Amino acid sequence: MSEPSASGSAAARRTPAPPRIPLQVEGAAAPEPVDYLVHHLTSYRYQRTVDRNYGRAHVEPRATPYQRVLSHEVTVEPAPAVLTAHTDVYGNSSTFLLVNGPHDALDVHSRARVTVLGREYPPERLAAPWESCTQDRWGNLMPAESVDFVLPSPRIRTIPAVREIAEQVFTPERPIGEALADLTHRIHTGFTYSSGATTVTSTLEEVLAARHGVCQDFSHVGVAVARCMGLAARYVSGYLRTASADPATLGTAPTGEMIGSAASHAWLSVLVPGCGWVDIDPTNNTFVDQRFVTTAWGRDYTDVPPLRGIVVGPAGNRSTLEVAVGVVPEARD
Amino acid sequence: MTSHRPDTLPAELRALGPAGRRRAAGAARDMLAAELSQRPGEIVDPVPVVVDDEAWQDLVAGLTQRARLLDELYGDLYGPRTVLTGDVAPAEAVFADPAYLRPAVGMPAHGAAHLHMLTCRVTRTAEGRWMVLEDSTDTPGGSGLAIELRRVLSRSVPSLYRSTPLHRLQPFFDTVRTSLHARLRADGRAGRLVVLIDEAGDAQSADHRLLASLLGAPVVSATDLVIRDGSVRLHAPAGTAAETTGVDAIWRLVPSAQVDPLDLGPTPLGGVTGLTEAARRGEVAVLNPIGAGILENPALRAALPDLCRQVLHEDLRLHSPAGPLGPERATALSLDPDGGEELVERPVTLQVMVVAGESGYEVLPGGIARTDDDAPPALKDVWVLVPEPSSAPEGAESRGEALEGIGALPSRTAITPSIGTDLFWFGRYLERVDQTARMLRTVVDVGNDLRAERSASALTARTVLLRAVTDVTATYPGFTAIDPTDGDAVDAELASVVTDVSRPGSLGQSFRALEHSTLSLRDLVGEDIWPALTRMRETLRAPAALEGPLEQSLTVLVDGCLTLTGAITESMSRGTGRDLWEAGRRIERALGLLALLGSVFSERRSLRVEQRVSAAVATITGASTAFRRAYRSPLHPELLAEMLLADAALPRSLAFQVERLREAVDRLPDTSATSEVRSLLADLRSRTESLSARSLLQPEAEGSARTGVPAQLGAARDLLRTLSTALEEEFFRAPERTAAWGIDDV
Repeated sequence: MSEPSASGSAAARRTPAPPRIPLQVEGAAAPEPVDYLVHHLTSYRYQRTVDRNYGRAHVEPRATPYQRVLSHEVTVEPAPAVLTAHTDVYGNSSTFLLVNGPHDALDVHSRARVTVLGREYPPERLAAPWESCTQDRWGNLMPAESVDFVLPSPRIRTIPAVREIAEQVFTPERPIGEALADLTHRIHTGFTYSSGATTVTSTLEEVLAARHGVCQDFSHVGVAVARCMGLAARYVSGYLRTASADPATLGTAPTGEMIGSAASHAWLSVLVPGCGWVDIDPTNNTFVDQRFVTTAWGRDYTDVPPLRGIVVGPAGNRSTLEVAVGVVPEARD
Repeated sequence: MTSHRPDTLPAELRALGPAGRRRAAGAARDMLAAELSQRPGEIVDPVPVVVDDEAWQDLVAGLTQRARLLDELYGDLYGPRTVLTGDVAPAEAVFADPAYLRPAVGMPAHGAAHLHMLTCRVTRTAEGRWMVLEDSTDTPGGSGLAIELRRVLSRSVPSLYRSTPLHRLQPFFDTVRTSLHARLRADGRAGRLVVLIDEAGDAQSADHRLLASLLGAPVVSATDLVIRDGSVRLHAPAGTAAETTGVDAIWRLVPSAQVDPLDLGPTPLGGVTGLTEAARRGEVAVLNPIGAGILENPALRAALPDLCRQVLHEDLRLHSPAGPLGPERATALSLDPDGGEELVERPVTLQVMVVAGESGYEVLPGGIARTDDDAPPALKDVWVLVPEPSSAPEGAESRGEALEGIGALPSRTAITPSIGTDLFWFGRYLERVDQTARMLRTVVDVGNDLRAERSASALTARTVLLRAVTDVTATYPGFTAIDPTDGDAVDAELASVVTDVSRPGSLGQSFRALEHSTLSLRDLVGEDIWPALTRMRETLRAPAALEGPLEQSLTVLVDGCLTLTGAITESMSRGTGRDLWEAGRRIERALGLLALLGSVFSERRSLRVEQRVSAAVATITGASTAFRRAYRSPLHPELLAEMLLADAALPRSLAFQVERLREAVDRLPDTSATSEVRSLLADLRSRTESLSARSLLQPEAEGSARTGVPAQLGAARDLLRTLSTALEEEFFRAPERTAAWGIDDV
């Protein structure tokens, strides 16, 4: 039911409207769930043979209030000496892999079947002033772990440029739903999406100064803005529905007008008491809906990188990396 | 009964007098600095802090409760985190603390407890109430230092230590070791323990090494450990068999955040990639567990009274001061820091250690006290008085049982392939370090004399000796590419051959290999080798070693080799392991001697030059005295060479090595390939006997090559190398060959 908001002419794309807030409408039908077949392949090719490879992956879709995981499986080639998974501190599935012995290539496949539900929020909750959502108003019933998402984290600190945005977005008594839509919109219009402008190690300062970045950076900016006002905000990593209808062909671009590398999309989520966590995607100027498959969340990128590792091999070795993702809707019975 | 005790210590202190006390303090300071390889050493005050039994039991009860509480808190913070819900625990402070390592959440406990050890800094109020100032849980240290301080003081002021019955420290570590083994076995592990330290962490490394030797466990750095299939193993040094030694438990003295680059972030120490996962899967017990540093959080410490009620349903026994310490603190009798003759009272803090035992936590009956006022801090021993005089130990503590740990478990009698390899290479590297250090020391020493002389023959002799350094250590091009009259270049090259660990064949590299070969030998060698290795390492590493006279540093290394050899010959049980060590030593010494003689005598020089060179060779090989006794003539090259090759009574001669090698090989158990080794040995003996120094050195004209020298000596060396390979393949090496490394290897 949510159409991509950044559609239409080039002129429209330059000045899109703020995203529509998905609110429950009495008597209206709930949005249809969508089933997906997810296949995420990460391939490393090494110029010279390496001896050993260790990896930590967050590539399995996780259960959320809006997502059911019907099956999931991670496979690694060549055959790993160790391949284990556990549920990490945030409830994500975390996979460890160890390939021992000489190899020239490393393939990590993640395959899953998930059902993603639509999200609609109670209008009165999103109409509450944003101040009612801050940590000091939570009361005793909020899980203690929520505090973890208000505090600074390895990549997130309050810096003047963050506070500047926050003061524009979170004006006194503004309804939280409107504020989140504005936050999404401001980042979307105020920053230019350009892969290559930043790396996974770019700091918040660099991104805010350059006003360039990718989904990760935009998510970090959003998280930092929300946290500096005392809201709990987390970084979410996942996939976007891809264009290909053929499960055998993995795409590298998301469907339609969606922006971002399909491989590892990221957005953010803000805690709205009474509603739960409300997910917004500044990269695509939208609230998160059935087009998004969630794999993991944490305080920021450093808690949930999709795949990182340590390779033991010759010095100065070079490698190429290819990532392909298919997030393909299945026909519902 | 107890009334005589308080009298005795003061009486002994009085008897020492001000001067005696100062002398003891100075001696103890020097001894401690030497033991810990520190310079300058910490100030030591020989007047102990005396704690009577009642006060100590009070502290013990408080500390064991504290350890139980912190253990529960670790289990919760890294598990269900229920304690964070509610107002008692400072959730925000925990979450904000970088010591809270989220990747460690969900780790299983090993044995009964998460928390294995705890060090607390405590003090007493004037009313006698104990207060905890600081908890150390991530890398709790100090126990090695405590026992060393006790040793040093009991030796420098034995009269004080005879005066009073006090608890000994050593038995505590025996308990720790056995209960740790029991815990690991209960956990289904074999109990192979290593102590993981930061090699470069100067401040604590001595303390940590001492602890390791008390535990009888090898010291390793992160790069010594590797995970290939899930379990943790010791990396073998290059040039020896592939690693086979599994590790069941890691006594972790490296900060948590630096142990695993995969899950805990990049670390300057390299880390053990995959350790967090190995611990999570229960492949290895990490003690203290990863992330234990969160228990040092000050806000958590402030909340302990409430948490204790919530978690243990008890009142916390030991409180912490809310603010800075007031003046109302208990003091201890001390030397006057301003140099006064009378003893004065100074406030002190005590560092005390708690370790998990088989049935609960145990407290080291002693510790380290530090004076805590405006004057420079002094270290003091902590005496815990024994309540029953009849059960008091007699006198001062012994230097420690040199063979501690050996034979404790029946399974240790067998030599594993890796232990056999390590012992063999330990013998070879020990001898290599010894020879290299002796040769360099003599060359530096003689070189200075020859340089001063400035005659042509002196220059030639010096050239021959420098060239021998390069030949014997195989550090080419070395002196083959250096003008021997260029003093600076010669000095730089000598310094490089001594200290450059990246250079194959250097003394530094040979020492590193020696040290590496000791890693798995904890069950077999005495504890005396660890301080000796520490001193040698510090000497090689400290830049000051090169600013001072080089000879002095080299002498430390030669002495160190003597200590190591003595520790092995006097401490290690006779058996296959010992014979392999002996075989390695003899092979290396023979190889070194042949290389030295081959280098210096390969060309005929004037008698004047050869006499000078021979004098140096005699010094290097320790043959000067024997020569003077055997011959009334001045040093003659042919006669010296003959002695060094054929005199079976001379401990550094070739004949002597071959004889000892034969004896060692004869004692080795028979295996399928024994006959091959024996026949090689027979070849070696007959070749050695046929070597005639006179015919080798005699005929050629001055300046011409003695073709027989390299040919004959080289053939003997080849035989030795073949023999070494055969021994290795027969007794301890896996069928596939690993790449050789370093100088002059098989």
